[in-house]
Amino acid sequence: MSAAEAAAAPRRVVLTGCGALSSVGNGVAEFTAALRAGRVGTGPITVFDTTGFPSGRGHQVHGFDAAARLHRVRPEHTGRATQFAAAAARMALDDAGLDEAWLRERRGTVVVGTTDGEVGELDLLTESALTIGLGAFTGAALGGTATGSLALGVVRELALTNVESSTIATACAAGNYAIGAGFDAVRNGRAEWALVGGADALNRKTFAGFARLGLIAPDECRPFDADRVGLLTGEGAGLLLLETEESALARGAHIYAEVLGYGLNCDAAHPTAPEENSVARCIRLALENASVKPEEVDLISAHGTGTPTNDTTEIAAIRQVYGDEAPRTVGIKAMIGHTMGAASALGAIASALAIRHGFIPPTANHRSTDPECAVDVVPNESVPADVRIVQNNGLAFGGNNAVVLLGRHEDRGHEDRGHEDRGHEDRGHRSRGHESRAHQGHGNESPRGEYVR
Amino acid sequence: MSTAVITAWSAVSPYGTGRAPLAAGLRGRVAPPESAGPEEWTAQPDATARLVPGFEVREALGKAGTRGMDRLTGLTAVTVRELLTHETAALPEGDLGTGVVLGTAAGSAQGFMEFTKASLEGDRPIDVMPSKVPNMAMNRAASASAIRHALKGPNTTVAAGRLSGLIALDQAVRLLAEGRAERVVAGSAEEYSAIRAHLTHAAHGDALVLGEGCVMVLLEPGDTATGRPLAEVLAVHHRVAPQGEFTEVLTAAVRTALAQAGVEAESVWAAVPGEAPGVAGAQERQVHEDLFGPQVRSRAASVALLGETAAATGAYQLAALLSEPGAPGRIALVTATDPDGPVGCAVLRLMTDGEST
Amino acid sequence: MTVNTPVDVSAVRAIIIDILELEDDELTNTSLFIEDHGADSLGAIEILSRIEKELGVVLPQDDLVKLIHLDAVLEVLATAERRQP
Repeated sequence: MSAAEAAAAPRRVVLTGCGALSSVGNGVAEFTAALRAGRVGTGPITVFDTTGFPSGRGHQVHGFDAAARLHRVRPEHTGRATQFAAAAARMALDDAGLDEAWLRERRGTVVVGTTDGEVGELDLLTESALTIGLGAFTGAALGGTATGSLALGVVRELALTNVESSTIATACAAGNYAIGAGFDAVRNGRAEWALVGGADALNRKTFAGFARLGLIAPDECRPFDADRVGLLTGEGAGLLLLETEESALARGAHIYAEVLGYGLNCDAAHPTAPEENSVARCIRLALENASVKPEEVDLISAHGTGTPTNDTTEIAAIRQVYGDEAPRTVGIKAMIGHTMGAASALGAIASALAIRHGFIPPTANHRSTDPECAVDVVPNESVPADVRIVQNNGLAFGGNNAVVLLGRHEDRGHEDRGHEDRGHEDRGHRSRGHESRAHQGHGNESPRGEYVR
Repeated sequence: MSTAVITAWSAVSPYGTGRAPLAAGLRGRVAPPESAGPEEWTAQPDATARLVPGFEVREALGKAGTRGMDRLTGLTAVTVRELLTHETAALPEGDLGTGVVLGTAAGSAQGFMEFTKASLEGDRPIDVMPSKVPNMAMNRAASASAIRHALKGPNTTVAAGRLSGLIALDQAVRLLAEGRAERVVAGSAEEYSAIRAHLTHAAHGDALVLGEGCVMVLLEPGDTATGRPLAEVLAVHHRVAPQGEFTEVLTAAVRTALAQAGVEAESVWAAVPGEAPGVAGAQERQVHEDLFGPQVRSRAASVALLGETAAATGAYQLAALLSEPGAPGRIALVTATDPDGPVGCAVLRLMTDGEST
Repeated sequence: MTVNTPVDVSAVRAIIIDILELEDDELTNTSLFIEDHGADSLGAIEILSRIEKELGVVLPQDDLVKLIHLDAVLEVLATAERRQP
């Protein structure tokens, strides 16, 4: 960055386009309808052979016709995660009412978060190397298995060149990391637009790892439920088109939400288990960066994996910041599974949809809230609500935390975002519904609790 | 607003562990020796590479918390240890903490494929190695380094092929500019493995000798730096040449970076290319010939000495500049190209005479 | 079906000693893996996994939490199911 760039005042950053691929629907319209309906996308995994695994269930993307979705990226030469990223980017562009030419005329940034990158391609390479030996390694395999190919796939699909491109591999918090990077770039004038988010594809390697840890639920993922036993792996992509408020207003774009700020930190404690105080610190960093007070937050889109310890630790951290008046806190992984690097990007899109359409997506598959997760999880059915500010959590293996704050865009200038007079009527609704639900004893302390993300 | 300054650096390289062996090797323009690759299930017995001599993760780091740790993580963690224990005074840990930004190409491809192989060949598909599970997250190297040194700031793993080191530097500078970290440990790393050798040789020919290692620098805001500034990061700019038009796009990137840094091409004292294999590297060298005289182009060591170091290359280029003596205040530049399209340029002002480093 | 043959104590000891990286005399029947030997939770999973593989049994994942010392491992093993061939 140059001194000239740095001298410019920070700009407001808004979200004007969303692209989503998930087990409950492709495209923002299907995704919205599914969230509203509380639809659950669990089914048998078919992208790799699940024979012999304790369970073969997960959240697979269906009806994805790569050749139809992609104009330039050739599906036959491209890994599944890169296809997802490129297709979701094109969806976000269309959704924003923009075209490639608009992007090309301006400096932009493309940042795609991922857990596994193209590990699915490495799985296939392993299989063929075991069968045919070293002949399996072709000249295209180096680039095709490189993690950076996800962001490059977006760049190629849209034929961009004056663009920064990077893939962020900060595991399951990567989507929020990417959104943060795009936010900073647009906010400070290093880019006029950002295509950011996350993508991952189901693969044997990660499935086997979670299964070995005993973290995979046998039937459904039940975040915050007293009887939750684990996660379900999923796949998909969420890409967001960010631009300046000035640009969006000038072209009359429909603004989903304003990106208010974010926080990043690292537990620096344990490779796989989360740390309550550190997660709470990350939430506070995000609130501070966004200039949002805890009482102004209407909804938390939780990381909520459905593993015993993630959920307990995450809720404890939320309660540390918010006290007994924690906002409604939902786990959309019950519906779409744990989409890894895409998870917090899809969470951000769900947050934006909640703001735009005035509803709170539910925590599906819910039976009875764990007393250790004492928040209103909005069980099973979405509810209409005046949602103005949403906190979107992403927590990863390695203790990598990332929290993004989105708010309804209110065109009131820079001094006052208009928080003061906000929705007290809604506050009264903040039901403590779980309190009235009977709680089953949950004496069985599972060791799986340690592995949470 | 102040820019970011590099106040310390260290490395684990084919010259050995720590900054001094790498600095001496680069300054002397001596290539490190080639040695046989480690024994792995896909290894070819006659493969050689420029390896970190005798590097074994658990010997280098001790047994605590290192069971199953992959080589990439080990190389990174040792580099961070060398940086924070030998090159810097104790760092006060404020509210924001110390961040880590690490560039990688694809994590440990060898580790991922071995894990999948165990799943495919085991009696049951879950018969994989539990101690290897933490490696399965590509952020292991960055997060393990944070765990070992209680670095609680942002912890980013960035993947951009041979641009990874340059983009890690950029991300680190931005975290500081945004006030998201008090200081950042940034760099990039690459491990040698049989899998990486096969992938690289299939793409670029069997003659290519692979290298490995890690270089990490400590970045601090210029106005609050506690260490002695070695270099100031003036600008980083990167783009993509999706059709392989590296000359044109890299030239634009270099000119933009120089403009952002506020310096003329004529005032560049040293320019270090990334030496990518194939046409990307050839066009990159052409850009350097077009923009810079022979003295400027030969002033610092070429990273080709280290072999093909892929994601680690950008960080090695910084090491080449930081190792080269000269008058304080000299302007230096690195460029990077990746055969898959990304190109970029970083411009620095070297602030010491380089002798003591 | 449960294991009727006696549990191979020395094989179990060897696995634990290897995974926790102990000297033979450090491991007693009741020395605690986590508190006394510095194991973490992945260590318990590794012990379970290796025992399953090397002794040809299946241990319920829920038993992981019980694997706190050697005697506890032997007790869990005594009721373990043989793997399907």
